[in-house]
Amino acid sequence: MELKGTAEVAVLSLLEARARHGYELAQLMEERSGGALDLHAASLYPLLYRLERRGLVEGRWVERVGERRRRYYKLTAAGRKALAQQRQSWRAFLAGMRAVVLPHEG
Amino acid sequence: MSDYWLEYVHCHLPRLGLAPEREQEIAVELAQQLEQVEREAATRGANAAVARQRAEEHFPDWAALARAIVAAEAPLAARLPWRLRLALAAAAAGSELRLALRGLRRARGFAVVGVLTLALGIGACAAVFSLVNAVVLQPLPYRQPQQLMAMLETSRQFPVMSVSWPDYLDWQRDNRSFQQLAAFRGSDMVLTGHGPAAMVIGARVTANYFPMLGVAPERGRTFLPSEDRAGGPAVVVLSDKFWRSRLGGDPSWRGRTLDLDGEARTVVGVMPAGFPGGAALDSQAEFWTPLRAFVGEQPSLQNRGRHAGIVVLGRLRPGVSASAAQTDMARVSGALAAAYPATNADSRVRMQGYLDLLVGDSSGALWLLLAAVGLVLLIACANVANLLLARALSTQRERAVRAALGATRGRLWLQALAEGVCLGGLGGMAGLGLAELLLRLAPVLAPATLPRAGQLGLDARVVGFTVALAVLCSLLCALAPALRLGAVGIAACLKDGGDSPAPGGIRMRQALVAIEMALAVVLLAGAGLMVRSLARLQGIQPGFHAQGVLTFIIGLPDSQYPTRERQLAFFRRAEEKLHQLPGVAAVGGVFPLPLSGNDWEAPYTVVGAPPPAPGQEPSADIATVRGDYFAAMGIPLEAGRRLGMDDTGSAPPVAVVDIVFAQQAFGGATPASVIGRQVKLDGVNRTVVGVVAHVQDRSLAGAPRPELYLPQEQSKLNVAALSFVMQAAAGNPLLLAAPAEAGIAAVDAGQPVTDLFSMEQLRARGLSDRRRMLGLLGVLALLALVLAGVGIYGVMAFLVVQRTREIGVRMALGASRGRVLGLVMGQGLRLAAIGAAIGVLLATRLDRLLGAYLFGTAPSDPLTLAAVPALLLGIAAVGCGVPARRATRVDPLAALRAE
Repeated sequence: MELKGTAEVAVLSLLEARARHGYELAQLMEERSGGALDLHAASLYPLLYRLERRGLVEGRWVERVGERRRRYYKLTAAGRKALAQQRQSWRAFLAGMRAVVLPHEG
Repeated sequence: MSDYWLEYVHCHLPRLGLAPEREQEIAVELAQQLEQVEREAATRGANAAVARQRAEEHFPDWAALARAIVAAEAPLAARLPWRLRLALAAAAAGSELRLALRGLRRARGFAVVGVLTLALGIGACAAVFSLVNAVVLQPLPYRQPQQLMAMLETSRQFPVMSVSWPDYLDWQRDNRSFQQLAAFRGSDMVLTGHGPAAMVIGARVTANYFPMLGVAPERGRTFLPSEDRAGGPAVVVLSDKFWRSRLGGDPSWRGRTLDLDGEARTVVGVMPAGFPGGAALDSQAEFWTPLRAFVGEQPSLQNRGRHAGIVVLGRLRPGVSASAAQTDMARVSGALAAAYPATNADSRVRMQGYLDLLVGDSSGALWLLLAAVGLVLLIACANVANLLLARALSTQRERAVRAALGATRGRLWLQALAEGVCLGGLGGMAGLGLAELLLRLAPVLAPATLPRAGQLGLDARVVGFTVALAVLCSLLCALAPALRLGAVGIAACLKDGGDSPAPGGIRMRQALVAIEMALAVVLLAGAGLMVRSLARLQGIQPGFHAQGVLTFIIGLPDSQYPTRERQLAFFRRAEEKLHQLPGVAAVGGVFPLPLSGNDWEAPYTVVGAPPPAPGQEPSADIATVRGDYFAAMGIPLEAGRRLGMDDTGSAPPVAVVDIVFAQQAFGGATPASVIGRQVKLDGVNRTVVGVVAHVQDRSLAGAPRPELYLPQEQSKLNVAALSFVMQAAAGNPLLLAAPAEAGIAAVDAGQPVTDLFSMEQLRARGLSDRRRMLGLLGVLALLALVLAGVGIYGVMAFLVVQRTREIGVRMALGASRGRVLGLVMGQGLRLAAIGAAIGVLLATRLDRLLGAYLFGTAPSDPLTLAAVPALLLGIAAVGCGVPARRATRVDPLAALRAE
């Protein structure tokens, strides 16, 4: 079973619904995980650049009314495919872990 | 707003080596992130300054960020251009240095101790090195000075002889290695007509002397070949100093005449200021006259067997090495030996670099000092390394956290080195300041006889040396903590609270202390051996009674006193005048004076004994005396009589010998049995009429040499120079100085008196170099002692803190305070003892280094080798004592609860 890094699959998941900019991604990550996943900006941006290089996400400068130009990242088709695969792996991994680590809570 | 952050990012993010548009894109995005962080903080109620600060701290490590981005952008990191990698490493090093400096600012006490320790070591090293630099390393101020060679002669009997004039002429004709050979002979002359008569130091040189050195006159010219010949015109070249101080810088110097030794000499040129260089043979010379004219007037100099003060200087032909020239000159002197067996059978050329000739004797002492000061620096480094180790242990946890967060190994190494580099850098700067200060004091500290020490200073070479030293110290100091990195597991560190050291750290610190102890023992032993030597030397009886004796030299110029008769007449009248002065107990004369630096040696044979094998002729030191010399100097008579008024030129030739001579020449005979025997000297049979006690005439430390005394009236040799000795009836002999000078002036107002000293001053002067050297070594040894004491204190204090809990447990289980004290002391002293033992072993190897400074004291001198470690163990006991007492005051309950 191939398991990609937590940060990578988390970022891909957060981009599934719509395109977001970097600051928003970091905020969301912290909110949704209840603070458990704290992806610092110093790691986030290099991660985004790597994903972009691999063609999983695509960054684009967008200007919205009343805001300054920002770089928004959205999933590419390849990104969606990769996310689906990684979700599959994680689901299996988490089920296995649950069965082993928390046998009485299922 | 965004412009501020964009600017900020550009300032902090190292160049990434990507396409410019891409780099700009990334910078804008990161700037926006920071701006957002700032805005967020502001909306949460932070004031503007706090909000900005928070954003500025958002990316704590720009170098790491840049690395991560580059890795993301170009997944094959190995393809990073080297310039980028270098930039990244520099940025990382820069941020580590900033961190280290900030850390040092927080730990001010630690920083001050560390920097001061290194500054002391580096400063002392730099100061001594600048001495070495000025004396040994600076080239002579002549054209291509490495081509200049100095030549003397040597024989089996006389290791160092000056060159005989005919030999010089033949060397010049027959050699194939030198462009030029110039001859040089020191000569002091009496200057009259410019204030009171004064003895002025000068030199006689061949006409090619100045061109060979490659120095042109500042004004006028040097000697023409036509002036440098027998019967040539009386001309003189002046030094800049002479021209300025005695002629007032007179612009109409050309053609002026000066009265030197009663002869009017025409000034033909003035040399530039700064010539001759600091240490040159003629460094004190104020004028030069042609040598060949002088040789023409002195038929005795044309005798090939006469070695009368000439030194030959030569400039090698281009491409000829010194060793090739040596071979060539050996060939030349071999041919002369074959051609003139009577005078040259045994004599050879003794050649060395000119600089070598001038500073050779001093350089050994300087390298010795440099070695000693280097030891002190090593001890200082060991101390600072110890401090850094202690600090590294206390920041171990922080480093473990960094490692867990993904700091690379290189980065951790950098961190470990950074503090050492900061301390080394600051210590180096402070050390340079200290060196400058020490150099200002140098005239006081450096031996007076050191040549060229006047040119001390912090030049580029010294500064370069100091910088290199600081770098080396940084690395040495940081090495121990950096090595510790590998030994500490991250997990272990995080788990056990991070403040209990791995045992290896202690072992390394203990090793450092032992090394310090060993180095300190070596230094102390060196100083101790010198103290013992000096004490022995001061205990030596020179054989004469120095107290209450005044002495001065009279050198009669040939021009005023051309004949022996006139010279002797002068001395007779002078002796009489001095004798009449009130407060004078005895007056005598001698040449050369003991311990004056002059010596005179000649071969002799015993009349009636079988002739010695060729080359085995015995030789003795010769002195001419007049008046009550033996009485004035308090030299006891062993047998026979002293020389007296009746031993005139027309009386039968006599001599007085010392007991060493009596034993050497007549083989163990008693002094009385020697009286009446005859020795042959300079072709004259002399009857021994008296035997006196031995006098150390050349140096206090030398082996006793046989000595033979002749009455001045009967001496066949030059009698133009004589040292008068006057025994004061009571009180300070220097009070006789002014009356004595007046007495000489009454005999001849144009005759100067020179080298006026009390015999006690002369005796002390003979030891002053040793005393100064000992003073310097003593200071260094003291410094080493203090540093080593501080070192062992630091380690023991640290150990006690580490073992507080263990000590608490022991005390809770009933261990007495005495036992705890013994435990800690024992551990510290064991350490010191190991170091001291190693040091003693090393110290017994000191003889090669110290040889010239030891007298009657072997490097294995038991007293020194016992006393020094004992002293050091005492210091170590004090160093351990304080922490050990602290250990006994551990409250068992508190110690156990603290866990």
